[in-house]
Amino acid sequence: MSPSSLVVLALLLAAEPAVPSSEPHLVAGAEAFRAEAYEKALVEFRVAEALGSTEAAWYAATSLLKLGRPEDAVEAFVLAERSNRGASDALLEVYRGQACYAAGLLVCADRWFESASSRAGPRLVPQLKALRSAIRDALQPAQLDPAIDRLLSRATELAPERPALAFALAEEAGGLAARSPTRHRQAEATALAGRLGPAAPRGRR
Amino acid sequence: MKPCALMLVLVSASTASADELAPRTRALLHEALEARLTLPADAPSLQRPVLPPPASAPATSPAAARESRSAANRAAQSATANKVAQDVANGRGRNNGPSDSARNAAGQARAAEARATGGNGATHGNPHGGPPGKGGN
Repeated sequence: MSPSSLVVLALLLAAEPAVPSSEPHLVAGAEAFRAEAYEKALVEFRVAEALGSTEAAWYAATSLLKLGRPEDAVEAFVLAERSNRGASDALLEVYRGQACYAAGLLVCADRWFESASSRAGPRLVPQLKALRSAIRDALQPAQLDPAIDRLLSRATELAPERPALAFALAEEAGGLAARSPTRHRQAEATALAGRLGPAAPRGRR
Repeated sequence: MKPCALMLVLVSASTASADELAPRTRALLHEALEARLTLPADAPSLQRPVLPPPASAPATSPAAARESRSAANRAAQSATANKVAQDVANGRGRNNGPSDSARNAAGQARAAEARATGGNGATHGNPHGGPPGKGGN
């Protein structure tokens, strides 16, 4: 065997194993999630993330939702998207829409339910359609402006410490402003979301 | 030179697959999420509070003080977990693979997140596994 072959063989032996070390934690997280042990699932997904799995962040976000922490879940979904946009699918989009819904971010919820509808199975589609219809009914013009004020106030407060969550709130304010008859504070919301967008420094939980 | 080229291809394939999820793992994750998927039953509302500001909570009662300390502790532990995660990421960048120290760090991340999520279960946990008001999601 030539010396170059030996070098390549050594490289081959030293190469990372085909199964990443995060994989067992993702499996353990999936099993815990299925068993409704969401705290354990969250820990396993966070460990998988710490070991290099960018997809684990999406599943950590779903665990946060199940733990009754929708705002944390919304934030985690934003960060997951920034680290691995391509890892999402229709099911994760439904969970993301639920996180937004539970956090009172209805434009956000509608967006993800709509996106999931185009790829979801026949059982989910009518349910998502009904939810979107209820969201449309809830977006009453008279309630938009106070909601925009509340969202922008919170987004500004959170921006230094939790820019990803602040971004989600600013985006929601922008979405509501677009539906407001007076375009209430739309430019402000758009500017804030722009400042807190993917290029901004990232915070996470 | 042909065997050499073949080995290079094998090395590339081995390292490229390390970041991808095994199909079985992906299927397990998908099945778990699908099994626990329950859509919200409550009516949507714009009035739902978004993360009430910390100042709105009364800070004078002992219970409030305990809650405040617990929340601060949780935040600190989350920060520790994040720092550990960052360290692991840096370690991987240098060594091109998880080292013993990375595994130890992951253990610390696990402990920190467990404390963070478990230490305040009355406030943040949900034994029914769904957001509050979701009818045992």
